[in-house]
Amino acid sequence: MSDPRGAAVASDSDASDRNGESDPSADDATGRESDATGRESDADATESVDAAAAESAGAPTDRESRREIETDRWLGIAGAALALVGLGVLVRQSSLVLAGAVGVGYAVYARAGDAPTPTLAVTRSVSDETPAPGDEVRVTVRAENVGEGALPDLRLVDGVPPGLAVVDGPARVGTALRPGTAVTFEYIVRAARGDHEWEAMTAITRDAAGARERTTAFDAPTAIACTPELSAGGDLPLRGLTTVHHGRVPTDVGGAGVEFHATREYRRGDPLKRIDWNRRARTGELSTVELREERAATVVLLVDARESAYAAADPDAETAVEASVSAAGQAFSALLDGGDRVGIAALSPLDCWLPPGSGTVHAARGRETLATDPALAPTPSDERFYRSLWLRRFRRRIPADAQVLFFTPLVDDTAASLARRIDAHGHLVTVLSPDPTTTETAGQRLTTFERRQRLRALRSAGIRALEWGDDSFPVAVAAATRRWSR
Amino acid sequence: MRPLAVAGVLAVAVGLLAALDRGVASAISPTSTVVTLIGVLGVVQGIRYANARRERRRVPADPGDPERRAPAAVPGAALDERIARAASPAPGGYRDRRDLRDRIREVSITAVARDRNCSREAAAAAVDDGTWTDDGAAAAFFDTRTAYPLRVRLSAGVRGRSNYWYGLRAVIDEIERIESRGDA
Amino acid sequence: MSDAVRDGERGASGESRDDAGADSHEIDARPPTVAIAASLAAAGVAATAASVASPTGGALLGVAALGFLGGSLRGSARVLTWGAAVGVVGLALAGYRGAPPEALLVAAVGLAVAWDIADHGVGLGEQVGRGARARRNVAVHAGSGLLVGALAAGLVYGVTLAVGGGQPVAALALLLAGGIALISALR
Repeated sequence: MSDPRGAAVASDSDASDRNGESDPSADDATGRESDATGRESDADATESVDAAAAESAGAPTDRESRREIETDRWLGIAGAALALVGLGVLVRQSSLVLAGAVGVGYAVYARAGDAPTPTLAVTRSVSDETPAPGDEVRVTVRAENVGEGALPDLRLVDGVPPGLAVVDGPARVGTALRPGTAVTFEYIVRAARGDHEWEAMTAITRDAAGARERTTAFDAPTAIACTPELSAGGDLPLRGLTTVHHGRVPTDVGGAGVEFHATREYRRGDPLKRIDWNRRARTGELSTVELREERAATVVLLVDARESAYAAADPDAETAVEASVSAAGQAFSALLDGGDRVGIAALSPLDCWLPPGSGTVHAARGRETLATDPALAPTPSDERFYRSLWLRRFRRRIPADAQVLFFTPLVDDTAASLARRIDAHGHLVTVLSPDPTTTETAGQRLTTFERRQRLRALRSAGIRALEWGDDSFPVAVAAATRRWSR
Repeated sequence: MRPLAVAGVLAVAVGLLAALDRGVASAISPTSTVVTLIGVLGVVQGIRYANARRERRRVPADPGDPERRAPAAVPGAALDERIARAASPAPGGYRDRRDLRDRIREVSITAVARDRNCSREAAAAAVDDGTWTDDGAAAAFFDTRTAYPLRVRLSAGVRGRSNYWYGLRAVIDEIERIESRGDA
Repeated sequence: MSDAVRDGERGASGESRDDAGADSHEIDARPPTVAIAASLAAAGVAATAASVASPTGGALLGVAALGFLGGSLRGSARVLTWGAAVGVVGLALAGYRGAPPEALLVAAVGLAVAWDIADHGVGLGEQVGRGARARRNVAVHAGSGLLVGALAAGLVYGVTLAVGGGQPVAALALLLAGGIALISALR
């Protein structure tokens, strides 16, 4: 029992602690050995008596009983004891009878206790509540035994949000707590896009003999919100995606266009800033630059976030929803920078709709929507998706002249047929598909063929579709726009 | 049950008395045979009780794996399960086989129609009568009148797999060939 | 117990637990090192005490210690049970060969504590894992297990001394018969 911090613990005369000390000194030696081999044993968890009670609010955290069982750990000990005593009587050796009696002692020990119901005050703090994606966030959990009874065997497993991965240290600790003592443990999660709420912490208690076990859940709400910056979308050649049919209609009227159209002879009344001063300097002629004036396009970014879209080639890889959301973020800022009006919608059981708009306020709202809207959460919703309901609502909302950039992994027919339906409703649909497929097993290969055929079918139905896998989204867009402009 | 317990308590009580008082002990002094018998009974019963541990089904709480991010679904994983069910050599699973065959047939028809630049009907006919492929196992997968090649049936028998499984693998390989031909 | 040995065992245990899911690379589900070491220490004490009277009995308890090590490294409670069973046979043998009560009591308590810590460690490994801190937990558990054994051994040894040789066979036979009857009745 060498607790580096707890002088109070060391000098404590609690029965359980004395037990610890009466353990053979081998325990201490091995403890040190584990320090050398085990990485974070001491750094990540400390137990201490809160003499000062600085933050021990003492209010027990809400708990919910989950399960109580007999572990049957000691099953058979009474039989072994009986056999030894019997043998002792049989061969007239009293020492065997004594050894058997020790077994009886353990059998009684196994029956004596009951798994305590823990009363804990759980507090959880995070080093950063609004981290950037990829940041490491240190989580500190403190659990104090505010109940009356001692907890001789307490195991805590924290409810890390399903969308976050722990990168250092398990989010667990095993300890023993007398009333008034607390355990603190730390671990580090890597932040990922989205709102992440901690789930209830699981506490498993056993009696001293370990014969009974009780599972209790403690609900200590904690959340972090991770909102990625919208990348400057300048390098994304989306212009090619949106200029063709709808939206930016080239006009002959002078205005705030950007694309060079032609030069012509100066006419009276042409604005001064449109005069080609270079040519004037070179040749002395006055001429006017004709710019192609464009009307802003209205674009809705539609992200497939149904359960099937939470797919990836590897269970630990980023899902297609993440790839879609990230690509939609790039498209969002690129289109806004290009002067278009952009909205966001999700193909999801949960409602998500940001009407098309422009301006910096809208940009902030778009960023917020893509990052933390529940419909685009990092893990799928449990609700059921009703396709026709969704389509009816989407049609009601979408402006008549809006085009749709549809981000979907295309892993089922629903996405493809929705793309067709929206297209048939008069909106220009472009399907942008992150590729989550892999080709190791028969089923995976078949799924890959089906997806490829879906893409081809869309293209032959006149819907533009591009996919990206290992190469980045901007590269894929550049390649596709070159193809389409040919 | 009850009388046994009472007898047990009595025996323990008298035993304790005998242990403490020499007089009681000599009064009840059992014969050597009886002592041996009791000893044997103790050993046998003890081993029997200890043996109960074999039937123990301990299921301690499983706190799961909260440290890991919720795993993404790998496209085709559910399909692999269906394939495993349909392709198991065990009887039954007829519906599974038929549904799966229909689904794979669609993929094959689409691939053939694109490869040969023909109508879906023509492609379907080619798939159904086995002329879409040179692979005997792939042909037999859709055409119930054609038997699987002897080679396939032999290795299916030896490896304990079904013909269906071999046919399915052959079909997927064939689709792969057709698809890659189209891309080239 | 070198690192190399432990790593070698880990490979084997990783394979044997494949059906537990692909997450074994995330959480190290082996028992805490301190539990394995404490268990081995207790088993070593038991083996030494038993070999005083019977080298064969001591050897069997040594086998039990190996079983505890193997069961711990594989995370298998079943292997631990077999180890304990071999240990009980070793105790029986040592007693049969006339081991003094003191030595046999130490061996019995040592065996019980060794198995208890090893089994506790396996459960702890499954629920908390080796990476988490669990030393205090193991120490408290080992301590209370040892205390119970010491109390039981002290009690029976004291009673034996108090009764003092005499003619305990009749009393013992009655006690045993009563015990069998009671256990049968209460099961």
